[in-house]
Amino acid sequence: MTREEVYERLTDVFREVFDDDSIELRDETTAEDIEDWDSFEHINLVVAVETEFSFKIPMGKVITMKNVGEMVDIILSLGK
Amino acid sequence: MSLTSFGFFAFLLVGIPVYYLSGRYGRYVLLAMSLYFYFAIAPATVSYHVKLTAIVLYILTVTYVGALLIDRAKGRWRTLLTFLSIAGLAAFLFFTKYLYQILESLSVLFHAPNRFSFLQFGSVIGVSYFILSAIGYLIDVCWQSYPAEKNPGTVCLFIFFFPQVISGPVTRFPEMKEQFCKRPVLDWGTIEHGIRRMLWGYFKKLVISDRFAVVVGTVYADYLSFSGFDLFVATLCYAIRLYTDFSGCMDIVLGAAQLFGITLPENFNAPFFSATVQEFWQRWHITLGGWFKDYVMYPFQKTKGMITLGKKCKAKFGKKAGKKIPFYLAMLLLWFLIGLWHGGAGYYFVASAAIPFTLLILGDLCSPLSERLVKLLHIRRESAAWKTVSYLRTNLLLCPVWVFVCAGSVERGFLALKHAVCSFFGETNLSACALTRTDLVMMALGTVILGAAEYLQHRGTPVTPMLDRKPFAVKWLVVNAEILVILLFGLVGTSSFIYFRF
Amino acid sequence: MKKKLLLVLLLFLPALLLLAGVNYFVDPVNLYHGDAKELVRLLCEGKEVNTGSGNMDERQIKKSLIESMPKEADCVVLGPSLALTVDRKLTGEESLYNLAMSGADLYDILAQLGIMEIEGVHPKRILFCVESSFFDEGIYGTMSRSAGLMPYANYMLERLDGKEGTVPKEGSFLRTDLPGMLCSVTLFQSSVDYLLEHGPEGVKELRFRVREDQEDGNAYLQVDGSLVYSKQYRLAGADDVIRSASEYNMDYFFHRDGHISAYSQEVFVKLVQYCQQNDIQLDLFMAPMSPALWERVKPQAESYPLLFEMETFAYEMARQYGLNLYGSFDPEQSGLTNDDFYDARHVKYEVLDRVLNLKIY
Repeated sequence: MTREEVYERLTDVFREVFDDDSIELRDETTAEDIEDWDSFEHINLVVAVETEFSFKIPMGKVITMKNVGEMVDIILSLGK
Repeated sequence: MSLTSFGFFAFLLVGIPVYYLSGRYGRYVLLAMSLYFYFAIAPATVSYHVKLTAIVLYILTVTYVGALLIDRAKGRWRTLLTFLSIAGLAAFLFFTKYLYQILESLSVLFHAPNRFSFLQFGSVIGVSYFILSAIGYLIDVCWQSYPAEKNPGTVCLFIFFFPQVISGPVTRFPEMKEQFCKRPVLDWGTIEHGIRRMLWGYFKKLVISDRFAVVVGTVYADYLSFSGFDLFVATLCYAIRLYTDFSGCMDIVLGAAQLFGITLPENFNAPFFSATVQEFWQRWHITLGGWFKDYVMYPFQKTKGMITLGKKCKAKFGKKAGKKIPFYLAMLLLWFLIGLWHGGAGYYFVASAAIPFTLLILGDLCSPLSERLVKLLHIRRESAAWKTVSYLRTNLLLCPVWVFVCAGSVERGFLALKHAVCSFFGETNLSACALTRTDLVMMALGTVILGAAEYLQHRGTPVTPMLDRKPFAVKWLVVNAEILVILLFGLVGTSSFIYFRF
Repeated sequence: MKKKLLLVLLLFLPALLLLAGVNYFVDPVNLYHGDAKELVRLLCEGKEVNTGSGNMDERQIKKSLIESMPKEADCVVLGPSLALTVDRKLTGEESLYNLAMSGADLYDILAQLGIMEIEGVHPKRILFCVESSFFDEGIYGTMSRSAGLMPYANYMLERLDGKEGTVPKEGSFLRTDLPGMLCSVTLFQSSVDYLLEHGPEGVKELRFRVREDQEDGNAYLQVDGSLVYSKQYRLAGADDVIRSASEYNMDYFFHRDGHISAYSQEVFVKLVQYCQQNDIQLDLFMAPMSPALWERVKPQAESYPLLFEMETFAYEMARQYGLNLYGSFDPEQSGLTNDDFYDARHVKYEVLDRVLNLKIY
């Protein structure tokens, strides 16, 4: 899996979860950049990501991930 | 030794040079100081010290050993050990905080003789806070966020670090460990900021808080002899009193930690400048909310049950509405636990669970309506006017919460609310508070200064760096004016901090 | 680095110095200007001393007095404020020393006896004021003022039991919180209030000084340690007494529904035996309360058994050990009216002889 692939699939997940087809993701994108991404939605997002990529993200990382870039890193490392 | 006593200053005065001279043993100096502090805050009897030693050893052992065992275990054993360790800590909390109360209530309920006084351990200071820190550490280790700590001294220091042990903030292990294990580097700028932060805390607590407490106490002691308007004023006074007391305490705590080059997490972020009630809870007692969010809400939301519920709701009610039900459920759980954390008394549940929950639902139900209203009136959401209106609205909506806390019981709370509405235009009796002209001036001045400082912080231009950029003479005048006000008008009585009780 | 440190000091030090400076200079409670030894030295030189309007530590003063008085004195007066005015003129004893102190409780008196023991002071007689501060555990149990003297009280208790007793180290009486009080905010506020009211010149009034002007109306200590109240206080009339009596906290001072402490009785018996063994004549006296207060007590007499138990006990002790007992709590027995009092409890000096001449046993 390449980084670009992850981004493509992740963008789809985001657009689905937040019901917004205009969402574009970058490494620096954080919860502040997306309107509905609050602490509650965070979990829905994580669950959706886990379902999409078929693995569980460790709880510790769920709490500490700061931006989309980190999320992508986690996905890549788990994919191996 | 209380935070406002000379003993505390002497303690800091001795501890600071020792810490900075101790090189790589800095954390042991902090540990010694913390243990000394924890033993010194309350009565100096032998039996109390023995009891306290047992408590400290128990908590440390369960946490330290628990974490090491969890780290080594795998699979089901890992979960089981985590559960057991947490149970060991939670049980302690339960025994010291709730058991006697529950048994007492039960014996009253069943008219049985109260034979349980031997279970009355008396309050263990700070237990509600440091237990959370310890449990958070255990959960983190279980989640493999980081390896278990091998040094028991570091674990002990993390749990009992002296500025935070009494009333928080609730800390997370990795951030604290990194700071504890660093070599102390003396920076006079940091020391200056630490002292200034403590002064600000003393200003809030000694000059503002206790004066507002007089109004609250007088009116709520006998609210039927005051008008609804008086009750309203007293409720607002409580909000100010509570905030200045708790955040003042936090300023002193964070300032004291800063003297040692240690940064503790913030607990408040200009809460009275919140656009919605939801936002308020994110700006008030931040570390507590954060702890419950990370360690309770998230795991709860990720359970199979909740996920399934979410899917079913989405299927039935559509995406937007479907999200609401699991959300409400999670928030209810969160607020219920926070109410429990505050002591579990009936009125706390109303204040910190039922009311916020109702406001949440109402807010959600009303939001399409308010959207239409905003469009109709062409209101710009970013305008200062609208923002001010939303701040005022938030603070008004929070009043019922404060009413229940002040009233002290569910029944009294409802009666007070009813009285406030029915007798709003009754005869006002606020002069019964017997505040002197000096008191009123100080309250007004204090509120204005506080409001201005908070507003600046909210806007992103906090006072401290702003003052630093000014010429030294200006900074000198401002700081010394602050000190002089504290010295001349500070009420250094015997009042303790409110959040000390938890 | 040095520059930053200097700036930090410059920022905070002035305020600290102001705080300590004002506290030390004004010192409204004479923490730093209450040299008891100096005061007693003046008394020994035969000078009367104005105690100043600030509170001086009576316990320190009386302790120093014991340390300077002659070893063989005619009489020593012990008790709370009710006994403060008993002086040489009243009893006619040349060498009388008044060791009474406001609120002197069981431990205070034991401590004074202990200090006398250590100093080798051996009076011919002790004039002892019987009062609830000695016999009511509700009062002496709180040890609010006598805490500093506890080592001496413990020493005396051991002596009363016939033991050697551990002599307390000198200096165990000193207040350790004096440096801390320099930074006290409450003391600062009291000092500022005082300055605003009386100005810097008024600070002199707080300190003790030799009484030079006979017209000076302030309270002062006489050479024998007895107190002469301020002129204003001495001119109290019946109205003041009645008002004082109506506000008097009977429940606390007479311990409502409380009884005489068995422990204090035990200690007192040992004290009597100690005096007899050491050839000291022990005389007891009970200071009457004002008629206005007595009128409040009488209808509720059953609620204040302590008063009557003390009287009975004193009488018993006098009878059993052949002690002299003077006075009574009942003002009528000495023929006193409300005009004869400064306030609800304190008998005027001018009529005190009527109390001391009322021999009960």
